[in-house]
Amino acid sequence: MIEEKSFLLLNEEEFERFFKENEKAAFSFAYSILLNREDAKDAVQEGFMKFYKAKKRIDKNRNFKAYLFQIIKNVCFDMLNSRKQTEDIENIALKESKDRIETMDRKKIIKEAMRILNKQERMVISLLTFEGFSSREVGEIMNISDSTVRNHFMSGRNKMKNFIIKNYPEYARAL
Amino acid sequence: MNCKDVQKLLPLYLKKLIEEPMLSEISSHVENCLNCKKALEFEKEITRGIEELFETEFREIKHDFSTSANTRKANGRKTFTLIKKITLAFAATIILTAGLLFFKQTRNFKSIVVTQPKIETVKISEPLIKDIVFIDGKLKTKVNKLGNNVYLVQIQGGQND
Repeated sequence: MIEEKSFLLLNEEEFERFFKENEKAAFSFAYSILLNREDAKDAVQEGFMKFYKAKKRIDKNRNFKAYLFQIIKNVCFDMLNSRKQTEDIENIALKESKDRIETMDRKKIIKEAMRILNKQERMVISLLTFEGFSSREVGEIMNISDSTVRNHFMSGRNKMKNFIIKNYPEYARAL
Repeated sequence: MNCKDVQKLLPLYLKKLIEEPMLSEISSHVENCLNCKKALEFEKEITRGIEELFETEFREIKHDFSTSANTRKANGRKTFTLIKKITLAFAATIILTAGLLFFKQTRNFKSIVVTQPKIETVKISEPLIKDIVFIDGKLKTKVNKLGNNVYLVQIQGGQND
């Protein structure tokens, strides 16, 4: 982990290390918002690019990992706004729920279950799935309180569980 | 605390986002309740599913990167990581700016490609020739100024064009 005090001196090698350390979590976070692999990849690249450009303007005492995720969140929201995908995603979710896939593929079931959640719930779940962020840091990234983070996490996960039990009872029973 | 309440809190319990004394209460309940034990296993399965989803989607992206990188390698081109792309973008901006400035200053020029030793006279009416530059420094060359804007350039040999 790179020390905050050396942040302003972040050289190419340190930035690459920072990139590698956070690449997967950043991708998962972007994916949880956009629900699209290619868009998530673009958002992560743009996010890191913006972070790199802004690095000398960042307060030394700031949590710069949280700052990176805030940038990525904003990039994702811009992408959603510019492509007017917010409604589309919800429509896709409903359509896919109706055309229920008759398979026990865990990944597909989880993907489908995630689609019924709202953005806030998906974001919290993705940020808390990979170790590294406390609920307080997640709150900082999303500009919400610690308790709201916990509430989103609990409601999101319970929605997913209920969706699976309702739509894939065979899968739920098999466990 | 009944089963319904416990099961609702299981995601937070798994993530250790619950403080005492509730934490101990849930622990002992799950320990003694078969239904809640199963529910806990189900929550763990969902967590694994979420991790798997992110992991496989991420792997696909990395695979796309490496596939395109291999294609580039096959074509003899260099593979760039994101950091290198960023560096390249900055470098390209600087080079482009410098190049434009240079081009602006030297837009009136004449270049000759020489494959064999030869003597060539280059005449440019205007503007005034300030300098004659040889791109390949390995060539043996000789330049004589014959008059205003008239130079005798002798390329006497070398390994490259």
